[in-house]
Amino acid sequence: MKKIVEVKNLTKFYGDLKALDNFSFDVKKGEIIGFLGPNGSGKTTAINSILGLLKIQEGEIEIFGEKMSPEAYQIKKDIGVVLQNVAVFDYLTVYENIDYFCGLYVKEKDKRKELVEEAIKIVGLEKYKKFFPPKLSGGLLRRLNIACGIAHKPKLLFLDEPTVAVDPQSRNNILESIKKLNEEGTTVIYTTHYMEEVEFLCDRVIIIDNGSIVAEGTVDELKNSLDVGEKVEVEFRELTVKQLEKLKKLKSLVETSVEGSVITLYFKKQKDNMVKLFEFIKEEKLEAISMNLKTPTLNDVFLEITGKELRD
Amino acid sequence: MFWHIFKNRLKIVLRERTLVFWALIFPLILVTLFNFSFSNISEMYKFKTINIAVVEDDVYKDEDFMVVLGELSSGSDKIFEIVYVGIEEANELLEDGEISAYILLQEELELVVNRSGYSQTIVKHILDNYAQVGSVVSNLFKTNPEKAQEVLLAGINMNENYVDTEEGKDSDMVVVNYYGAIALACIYGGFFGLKTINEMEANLSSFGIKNVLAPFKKTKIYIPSFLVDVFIQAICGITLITYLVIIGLDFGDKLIPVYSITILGGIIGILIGSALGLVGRFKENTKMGIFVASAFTLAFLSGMVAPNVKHIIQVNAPLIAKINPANLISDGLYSLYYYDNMNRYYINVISLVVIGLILLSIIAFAIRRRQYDSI
Ligand SMILES: Nc1ncnc2c1ncn2[C@@H]1O[C@H](COP(=O)(O)OP(=O)(O)OP(=O)(O)O)[C@@H](O)[C@H]1O
Ligand SMILES: [Mg+2]
Repeated sequence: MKKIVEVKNLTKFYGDLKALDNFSFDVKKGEIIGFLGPNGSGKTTAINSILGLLKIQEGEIEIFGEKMSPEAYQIKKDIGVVLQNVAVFDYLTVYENIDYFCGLYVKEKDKRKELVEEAIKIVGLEKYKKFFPPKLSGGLLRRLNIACGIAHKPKLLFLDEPTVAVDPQSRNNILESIKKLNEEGTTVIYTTHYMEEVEFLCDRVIIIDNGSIVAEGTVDELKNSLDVGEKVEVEFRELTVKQLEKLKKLKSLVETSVEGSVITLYFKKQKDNMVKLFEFIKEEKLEAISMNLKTPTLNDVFLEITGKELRD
Repeated sequence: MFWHIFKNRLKIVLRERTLVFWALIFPLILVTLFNFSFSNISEMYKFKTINIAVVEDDVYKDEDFMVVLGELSSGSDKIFEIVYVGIEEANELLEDGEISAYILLQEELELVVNRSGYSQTIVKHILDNYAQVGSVVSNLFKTNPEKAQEVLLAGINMNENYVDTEEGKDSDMVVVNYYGAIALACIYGGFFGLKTINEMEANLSSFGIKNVLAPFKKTKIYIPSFLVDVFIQAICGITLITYLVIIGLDFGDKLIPVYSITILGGIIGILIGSALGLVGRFKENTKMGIFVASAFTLAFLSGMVAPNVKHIIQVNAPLIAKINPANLISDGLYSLYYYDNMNRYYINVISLVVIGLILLSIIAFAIRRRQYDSI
């Protein structure tokens, strides 16, 4: 498949701080690619570098098969950007804002009108066309921010944490809109630190920590790469120290942690984990008050690779 | 593209009330306050002695006139302070502003001035009145000096709120306050310039990022935005001057140059704001603070608060006076008021244009930047 973005050995310093370390990846046509990483991992820096906004110390960036540069207007014309910080004018209405940003790309008035209306529909702001941004709720404001970035129908769309501090309804709307755009052919680069969003949205995930790519693949590939399979949280009515020691010796267990009366068991990836656990309970005549089974998440992937949680 | 940007910038700037306040309402309030306080002050002034020189002729003597002059220049309420000098010295004194006028004593009394003003008008009136009544008045001084004065001063309205305008003091000082306020209003055009740059540069705002990402040169956004700023600032300047004309500030009857230098000054203000926006690594609010403080300082140095500051700077730090755009604006206005001849006005205008060009080149250079070390 055609490569829409190709980044090789991108390195970026802010003074002495190495914000991006030898970053290489590519994005294929029609993909939604997710940059998943905690706060300060370098997601925004990566996007701004790719867009040619930041001076980089090393690296090559190609977009649509051509070298990206600040003067690459042919490339820029087909790019849409939704910034992490909302970029809308307080003194322009919802409609005027979208029209302003769309107008930087589309000259013909009639066509622009259509595009603006369409963008408004996509993000569901029909009722708010004449509103000024300060009158919009946080979620609606983010939707406007998105509409401003997508109205000109870019072939490649960058979204930098578009759902931060957004109510669930707006978040669903935003995620659905992005899916819709992608189905219409837009290639999407999406950054977030919400793994649920990545699982819902992305064909491929790039996990970033401290400016480096620490893992890359589809959601399933990443989960399958884990040593740990299921994670079980159990609480027993009574458990002697001896029994706990015995439990810890269960064959497929990777790790056990005890917090109050709740014991968390991390199993290796294999089929009969739960069967083994039930057998143990039966043998020891234990009574489980609660039992909670969790399949691995991207957070677990992150935890395993970096030793810390995605969100603290 | 031009109209798209122009139209939207116009909406954005006009709808932001704080900007309109600083650029338009604040200067109007300021000069209105000046008007309240100074009209009271000027009422306190009484007529002041006018400095003149008399150049005597070797041959021609007019004893009567000498008596009249003697009377007018003696006593506690004397009208003239007279020096008797040769013609060359008289010219020099006039040039230096030490005297308002000099009189050539000859068959036909001749009055020499280098500008028109209230003092000159008084001298001229007295000479004219003397020419009409002649020697009668010198005798009248002996019998009824008050009557004699009255005759000589006939037609002069001594109750007007005029005060002596010589030596760059008093009423001249009051107009300097106003001219300084106009200069401040011009420099305040920088609010527009700062805002424009702030919304254009990627390292200053998120709008800036989106503008820098647009598929064309940045100047395509800057030029229409700048013209919007100039347009609005010009309207503010024109409104201010018109208001001042209505409330009766003396501009020396040369309104077109007054409006022109105000508009030019506004453009300089915008450019100062833009340049400040582009250089230095401060946050928007910091830059705003720096700007407000420096605008006020420039206006202060141009005599807005205390008119003799302008004088002091001009004498002691002429370079500062020559590069302070607020002073150039205020001095341009002052020279229109003070001198008949336009030379000094043009020097101020040219200096402003030079400063404008320097600022423009800084802006043109800085605005070419499209990549930032950090955002
Ligand atoms: N302008 C800057 N100057 C100096 N350091 C910066 C600057 N911007 C970011 N950094 C640093 O670079 C690193 C990466 O920051 P970046 O904003 O790219 O992270 P991020 O993944 O987008 O974080 P977030 O989820 O909070 O948006 C952080 O350590 C941050 O402190
Ligand atoms: Mg970020």
